[in-house]
Amino acid sequence: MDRREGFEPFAAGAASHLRRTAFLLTGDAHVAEDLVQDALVALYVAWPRVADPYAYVRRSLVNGTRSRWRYRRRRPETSVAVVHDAAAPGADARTAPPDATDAVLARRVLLDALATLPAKQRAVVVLRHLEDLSEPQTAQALGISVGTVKSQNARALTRLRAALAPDGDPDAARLPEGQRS
Amino acid sequence: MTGTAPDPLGPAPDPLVTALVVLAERADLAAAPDPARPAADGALAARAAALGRRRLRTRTAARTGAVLVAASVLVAGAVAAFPDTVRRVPVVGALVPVPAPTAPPRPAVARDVDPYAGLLEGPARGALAGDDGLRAEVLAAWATARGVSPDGRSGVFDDIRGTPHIVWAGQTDTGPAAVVAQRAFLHPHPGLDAADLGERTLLGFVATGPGGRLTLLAVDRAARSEQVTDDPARRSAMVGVWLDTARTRLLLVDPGVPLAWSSRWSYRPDGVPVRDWAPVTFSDGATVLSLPTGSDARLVAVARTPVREWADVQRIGPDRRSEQVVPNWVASAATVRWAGTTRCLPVGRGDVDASACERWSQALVSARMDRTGPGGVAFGSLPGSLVGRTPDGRTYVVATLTADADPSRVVGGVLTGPDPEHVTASALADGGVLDPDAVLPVAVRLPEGQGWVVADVGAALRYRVTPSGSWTDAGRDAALLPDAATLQVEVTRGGAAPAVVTLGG
Repeated sequence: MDRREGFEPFAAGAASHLRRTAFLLTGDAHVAEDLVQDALVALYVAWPRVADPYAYVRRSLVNGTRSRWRYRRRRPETSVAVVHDAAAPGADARTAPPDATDAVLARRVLLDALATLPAKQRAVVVLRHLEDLSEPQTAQALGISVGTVKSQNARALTRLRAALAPDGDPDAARLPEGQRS
Repeated sequence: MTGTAPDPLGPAPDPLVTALVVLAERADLAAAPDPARPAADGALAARAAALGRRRLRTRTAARTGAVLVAASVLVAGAVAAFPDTVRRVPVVGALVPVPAPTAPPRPAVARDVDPYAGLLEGPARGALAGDDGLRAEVLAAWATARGVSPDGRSGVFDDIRGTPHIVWAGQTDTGPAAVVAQRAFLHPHPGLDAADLGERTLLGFVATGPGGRLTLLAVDRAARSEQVTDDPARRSAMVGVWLDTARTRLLLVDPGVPLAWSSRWSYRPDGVPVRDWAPVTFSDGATVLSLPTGSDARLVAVARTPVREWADVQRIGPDRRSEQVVPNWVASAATVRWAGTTRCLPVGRGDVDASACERWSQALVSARMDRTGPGGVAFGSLPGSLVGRTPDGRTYVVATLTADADPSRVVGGVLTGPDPEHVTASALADGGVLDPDAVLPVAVRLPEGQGWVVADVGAALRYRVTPSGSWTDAGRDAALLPDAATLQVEVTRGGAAPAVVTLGG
């Protein structure tokens, strides 16, 4: 019997979602693709003893992101193909019509905001709010306590509020049209 | 995309979180990695399985090898302890007794992995290398290594080994400076790539700080992941550190290979950015480079010569003392605002392929601009652009091009290629630095006689090809004008008086 039966259907089904998670964690499409592949390879090796493959591979992604952080910080020049729309202050997703260009600008605003966060806070925001994990699930994925998730989340939201504030107004986050409160 | 589920009994969700979720939905993240054209999910799964099988085979082989080595060492130990007895033991299979090691085993450190090792073993250089007093001060500063760098503070340098070695000590215009080397063993750590583990040589840069005290400015470990090429024969650390917070003077240690440096970009007529390289001249082990007045430190790069491709280049612009993430290219806020006004603006009334705007960045890469001109890769293009048809029916795009932190330029190009998904940008033309506040921010003459593309969003445009000729209406916002050597464009914005811009000539 193949002890790794079921791996490929799981991996094929989860790949898109994992790419998206990795992209949010790293902000770099190519790095995200590499991370997902690395995480799936590790999952394949561990497959017979893994009870929750999604939790396992999510943990691998987070760990991989941590180990790549330094590389990302100081690597030499790269081609535009692996640069995801570098910092672009002033891009305003509030007034944009919903088209492909709008998606690029919204992506830029989102990634710029996430880039202001330290790695751990970024991971908390991505998993807790953009992946909709519960606090215990986020804690498990990151290998930290629920209390740390709460505190990191609070700090991250404070930073994001400032990062998304237009024209230096920290009380007015740069919300998409129709979402302004 | 789901967002945080609200607790029906709890407070309403934070509007900021709602905004983030909506942004993520609008960001169309599924399309984000498009330039990479990721493999289909099934193919990725199959590839992961194949790599996983290979890893299992490798692991099995490694375990088998470890057992054989352990057995060999045991037998070797027995040979050393009981030579007469062992001589009487028949040799079985591959378990041949081996000589006992004569020295404690040390992890092998290849030069290509640890390029600073040569500096550790070389003589102390520099005019102050023999100054014992300075040496003591330098080593005292070096002793703070664990607290100076981000790596040190996070525990990466906790296992420093051996004795420190002065690589270079000399005088700079702000006082004595020195470079120190010492071995460290890097253990697994969340901040390290697996390839960076093991014994490595650290370099410390010490300079005279405020108050005249020698201060450790930075510690570098030449991480494998940071080196500039995967070719072991060419891999080299080319490290430098800014001596001042204004980043005007760069201390470089001589790695033993010829280096060049660059502090600016220049642009070819087709808009391709190229580096202006100058050789680095070392004096007795190190040098201090001074940036020309008006230079932008973010643009500084060092390369091993001959500079053949982008992988030879290491950007020094990012301050190595900080944890700042420095993007590969940065468009100014004004450029971004301009791009927001154009937003793939169709020029002319004909059949326009608006999807070309989305393919523009990929088309630039396909045009191999990133390989044209060594080091010319850290460029990007904002999504806002103009798109239209040339007189001969091809699709052209006019967009910004930004190299590093240099001012953005306007570049026009014709998209070619039989497969619309794999186009390239040909017939490129440079339209100069983008000035969004100029009367006519965009004026680029397309090659091959395809005409002038001009744009000022919100303005009415007219043109004439002779100074005394009559004006021809060109509509509003943007236009493709005839290919004339000289051209006058009249720009009328709101109730303001018309302004005339002369192109060419």
